[in-house]
Amino acid sequence: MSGQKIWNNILSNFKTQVSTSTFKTWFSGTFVLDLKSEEGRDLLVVGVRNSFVREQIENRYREVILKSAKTLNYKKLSVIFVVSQKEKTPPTKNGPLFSGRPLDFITKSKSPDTLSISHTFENFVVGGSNNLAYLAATQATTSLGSLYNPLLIHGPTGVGKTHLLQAIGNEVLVKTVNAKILYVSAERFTNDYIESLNNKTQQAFRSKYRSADVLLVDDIQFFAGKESTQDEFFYTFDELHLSGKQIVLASDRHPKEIARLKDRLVSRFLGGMACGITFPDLEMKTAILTSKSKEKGISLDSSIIHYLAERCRGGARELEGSLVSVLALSKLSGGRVDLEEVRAAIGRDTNLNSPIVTPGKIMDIVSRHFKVSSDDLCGPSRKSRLVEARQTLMYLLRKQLGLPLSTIGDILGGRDHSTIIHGIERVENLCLNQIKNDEILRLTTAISSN
Amino acid sequence: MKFTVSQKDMSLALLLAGKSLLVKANLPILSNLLISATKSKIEVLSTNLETATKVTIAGEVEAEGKVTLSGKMLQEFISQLPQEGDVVFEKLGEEVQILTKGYEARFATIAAEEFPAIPKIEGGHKIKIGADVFSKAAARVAFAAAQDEGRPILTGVLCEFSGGKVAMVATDGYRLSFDEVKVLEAPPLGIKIVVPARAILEAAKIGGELGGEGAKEGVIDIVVAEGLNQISFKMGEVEFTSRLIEGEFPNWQKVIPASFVSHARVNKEEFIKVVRIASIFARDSGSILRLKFEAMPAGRQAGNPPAGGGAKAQSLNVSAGAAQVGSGNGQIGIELSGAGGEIAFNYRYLLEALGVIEDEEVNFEMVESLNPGKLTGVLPEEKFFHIIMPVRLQS
Repeated sequence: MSGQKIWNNILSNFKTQVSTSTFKTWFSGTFVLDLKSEEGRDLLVVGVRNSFVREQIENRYREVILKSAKTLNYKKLSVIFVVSQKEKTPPTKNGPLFSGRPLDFITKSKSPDTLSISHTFENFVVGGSNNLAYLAATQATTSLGSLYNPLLIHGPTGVGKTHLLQAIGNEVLVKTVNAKILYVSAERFTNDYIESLNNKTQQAFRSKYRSADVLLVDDIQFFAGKESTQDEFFYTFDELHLSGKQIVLASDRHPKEIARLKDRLVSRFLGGMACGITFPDLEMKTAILTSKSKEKGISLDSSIIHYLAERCRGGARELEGSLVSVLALSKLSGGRVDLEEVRAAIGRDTNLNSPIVTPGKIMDIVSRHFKVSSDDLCGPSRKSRLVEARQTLMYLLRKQLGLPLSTIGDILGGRDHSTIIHGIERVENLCLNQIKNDEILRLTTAISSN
Repeated sequence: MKFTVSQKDMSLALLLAGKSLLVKANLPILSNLLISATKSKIEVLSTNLETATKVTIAGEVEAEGKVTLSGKMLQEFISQLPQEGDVVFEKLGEEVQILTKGYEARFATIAAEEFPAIPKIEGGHKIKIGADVFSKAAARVAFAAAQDEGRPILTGVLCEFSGGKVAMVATDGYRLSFDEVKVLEAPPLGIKIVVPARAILEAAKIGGELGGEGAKEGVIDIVVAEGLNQISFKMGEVEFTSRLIEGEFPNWQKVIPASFVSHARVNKEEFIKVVRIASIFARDSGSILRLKFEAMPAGRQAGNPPAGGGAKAQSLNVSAGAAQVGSGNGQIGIELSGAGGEIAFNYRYLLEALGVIEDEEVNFEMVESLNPGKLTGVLPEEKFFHIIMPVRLQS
């Protein structure tokens, strides 16, 4: 029988012998810490809330308790009382002073256009692929509205554009108490605008967006094709820009590549500083993983981190995803994981999902992207549009599959290996240009994803 | 039991013992006082199961004995009796008769055996500290402790005795108060305990109420039980015992910024005034005030000169407001070194902290809007400081 059960039996017998208030005052909250058996005798260790209570129980009620125990046939039982807290205080937060994060105090109604305070410059991992964007962002906060205005950050999904945008907002808040910072996605701007048209509240809409000291707009590619929203954004942009307010934009591709975006917007977006972020390299991925695992309060073996970094092709978000899987795995196996287990678990996952890349698939994707047929790609025509597609295909076949030059030549309708070398070099040169670089990036993402 | 005491002695004893009474107890005995007469002394004892107060007074004992009486009634009755008179207590059956010139009363009793025993401290760490020094430090620190029991450890005051000094720290997670004072006698090895804030304030009050007269040369004898679970304060004829809070006090040193960017020196009365006036407008906006430390704008000085500070070149602007009630804004002159800046606080924290600083001027230091600010007095020998966490304002 468990100690707590014995104690409960004793208490319910004892309860009948004293008044309710006495019982409540002295015995509520008592609990069993331990039941020890030694040489045929049982020792029940009971925790009480403080020494005042213990003193009283020891002096006044000890005998009565033992008598109750005897009547219940616990003949060889003795009871001792110790001062103890029922449960260790849960490690709850000690408050903002200790976390270093001030409480948010929102002066008007709570709106979703607020920043998440977990995105700061401090926890942004900087590396070769994003240091220009990082520098520009930090610079922009020191000279708001003048140095880089607008600041445009573009790059594929999961590389930290939103993080940088929010970090700018948070940094501005650190420096001033009451700057009006508006962080919205283009989608929200669009919805707000449509709503204001429906409810005839354009005035409120304008005063909301045109009174911001810092306007942060995420995912501006969403404006594509929305003509009147573009017009509205154009006026908002101009007004803020003219009055020297900082504007920061993020997009998943270069504005020039966003179809159906008006030229006057594109030119304005590019009128300040535009910087790209690409997928992180291996060292950076390692750094991101280390920083993320520290945030989650786990320490991983460096071999596991290295494995994950190597394995993961995408950006920070995918890295975080893989980290979460490892975390779940470590919970399952009681806190310890080794590389083999991780490899087995994650390797299995990705093998199921990751597509097998074939030259045919790459050709498909390229032909779809450039809107040319695969027969033309292998054919003799040397139209400039075809040549560009063909050279891009050479480049991708070489880089993605590592095929020998002559094999690539064979695939492309029996071309000579020097033609292939020339094509690859040409694309490499074009890649120095951001636009081509991003195009290649999207193609490779498409190849490895679907 | 029969004894005679002076009204004045008994009245003071009841006032002091009243600190540990549990008035709304579901166990009636806890709202009673235990009065015991032995030889030539009379002891008045009360407990609320967290603290216990024992006051010893001199009197003429004819018959020894013990009795418990309702603390609140007895206190009210005795305190209003004619002063400078003697009061006779005599147990008659189950009642106690109290007689003085012109007045007679009979109090019902509860058996003295029912009264809970107070845990004794057998041996422990002995400390001696000046009563005024202790009371002042306790008052400066304990108010910052947490009120709610959600984090029990934060409802206490951390006391670290070491090297002839005691450092006291209290925090509720939003602000932190620290003071360090000398002790007269300390245990050879340092000890670290957490005393309930309520208990330390009571002890300080008792020390203050006794003043110089009751306490022997104004010294408090402290004993901390060997197991670090109980503490007793002995001041003259009063012994105040309290449980200690078990658990680990959070690492408070790390919340104090290593260095500050801006230092302001502000007249305390002006500071309190400007905060009070702005606070009228903060009541509907979460008690939040905005403080702006800056070099005085040139136009401002001529048009609407600041309320105080004479010809000082820098100013502190305090403002608050809510859309529904309007806004207020006050400005005083200060001495500022460093960049200045804006910071937002709950005004109650500011007023409470300013209230315990005795100097005419205070120092305020800050790093940036979202880092804690620090308030201190201006006397270099004072160790007191107060840290307040700002809030982040978003429109």
